[in-house]
Amino acid sequence: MRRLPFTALMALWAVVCLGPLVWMVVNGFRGNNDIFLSAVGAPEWAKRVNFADAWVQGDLGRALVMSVLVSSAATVLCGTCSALAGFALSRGRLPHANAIFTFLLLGMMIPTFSVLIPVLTQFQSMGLTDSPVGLMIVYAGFSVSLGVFLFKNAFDQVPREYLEAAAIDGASVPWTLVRVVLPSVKPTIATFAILTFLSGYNDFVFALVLIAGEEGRTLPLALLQFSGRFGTRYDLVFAAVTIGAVPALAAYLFLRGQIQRGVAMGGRVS
Amino acid sequence: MTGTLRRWSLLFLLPALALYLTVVIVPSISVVDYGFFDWSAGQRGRPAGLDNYVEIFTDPELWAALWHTFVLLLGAMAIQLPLGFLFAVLIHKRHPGSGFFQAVFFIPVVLSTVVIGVLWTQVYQAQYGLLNAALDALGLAGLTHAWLGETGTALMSVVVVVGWQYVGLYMLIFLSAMQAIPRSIYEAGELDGAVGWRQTLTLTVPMLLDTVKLSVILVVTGSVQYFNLIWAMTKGGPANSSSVLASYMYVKAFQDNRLGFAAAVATFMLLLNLLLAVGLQRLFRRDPLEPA
Repeated sequence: MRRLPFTALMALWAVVCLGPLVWMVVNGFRGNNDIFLSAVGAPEWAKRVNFADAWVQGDLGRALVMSVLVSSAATVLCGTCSALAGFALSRGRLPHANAIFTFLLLGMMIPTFSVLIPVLTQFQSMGLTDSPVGLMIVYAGFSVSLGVFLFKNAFDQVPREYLEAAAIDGASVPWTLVRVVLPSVKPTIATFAILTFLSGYNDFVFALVLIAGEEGRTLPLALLQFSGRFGTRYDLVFAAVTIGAVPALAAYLFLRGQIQRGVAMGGRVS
Repeated sequence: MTGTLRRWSLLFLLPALALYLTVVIVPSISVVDYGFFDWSAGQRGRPAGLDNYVEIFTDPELWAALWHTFVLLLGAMAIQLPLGFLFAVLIHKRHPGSGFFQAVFFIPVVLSTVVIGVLWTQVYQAQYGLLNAALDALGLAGLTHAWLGETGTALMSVVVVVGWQYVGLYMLIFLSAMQAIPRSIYEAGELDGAVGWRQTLTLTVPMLLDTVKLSVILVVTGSVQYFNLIWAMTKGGPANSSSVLASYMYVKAFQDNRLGFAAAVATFMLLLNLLLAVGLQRLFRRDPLEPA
């Protein structure tokens, strides 16, 4: 019985966490006038058309594809670069390896907002604004510090015998990295991929500044503009934001353990 | 063999360095330079000396934004750390249902800021918002507000959501630190009579001191540059009542098109961030770049 107050407290917070989300989904299935007259009401199956309307009018499909493509490409690009650099710093026997490592980690202390203006003017002169490529480069660049940190530390743990055995077999350095070292740090690869993908997928600051046209909009940008433009179509706003929440919720449902481990790790690192 | 390894390693360093220099290092150096010039139509104009800085620090809007940033920092810390810690302790005790609560509390962390911002804008809406409806239902109709539309409530309303979003993150950070405490320490403590809440206070809390310090640093440095929910919910309004440093800079740069002035604000934010990060690490005697 002593634990009852604590369980009640946790149940209360669970309601605070889930309440707004349930309300969002239910209101997606209600008519505009109904919502305006009363905040809470029963959903109607016939109003499922709201979701189709929001999807089409907000061009959410294109935005979702754009978000997934840009974030995945940034993850692959940054993952490749930082795994290579992590290997060089961990096993390369380079002079000043520690100083280079520290320099690469400085990025964790630099706020997004300090680089926003120079990145914009630089990308304008290179024709990289309004382009998914530009956005990908920014997301990848901002994850280099995290990637190098994760990969270097993971490679440090790989037993030296593995590398010696590969060297005796006459394996080249790239072959050793790809076939011997990388397969033994799979959890780190998963952590890195989840964190980098999420930071690109959830970003809207860089998208706000670098993307002006409708073609290149990512999902957060499309949702923000949708709620501005259709501000009085409450039903569609609820449907749109529900659509926006579904991919992340689905991913969380299937990869809960990995996402929690990754994000906790990321929190401890940065 | 070492020679080949070194040559490969130098080659391996190049792509990461190029990416990092282009996106992070070069821009954060040139932003300092930008701040000493007047800019018009996206072009560098005449040198401005310290004019931008003089103007910033005599602008009451900047001081308001700085104060709001500080309120956000304190508010976020007051919500996230105590609740995160409490829930971590409760879940760590492994009562029935703790797996469920852990999963649910983490959901807001996974959602994107824009989804949360648009959703909570509806929750706070005056006519059909969930919050006012709940207050009405509880017989507290006198407490209803147009939460994001009034200068007195806008900032705190956003701060509550910032807290709501990240309680689950700090819960998880504390929980994973607790799970890393060796069983043997608890067993030794139990022999000395440390059980239940006594155990939490005399064993768990001191063992987590480093994690608490890390979390404080995370909240502080995250708050100095905080932008997302402010922009998604109020854009700093109404009447600048919820503006923060980042939104102030954003408006100057991309709505008033004053790049030089905004770059000076960005430089100020960069210095403030570095100062606080290094200062807190010193204070807490942690190596700045060493993870917990």
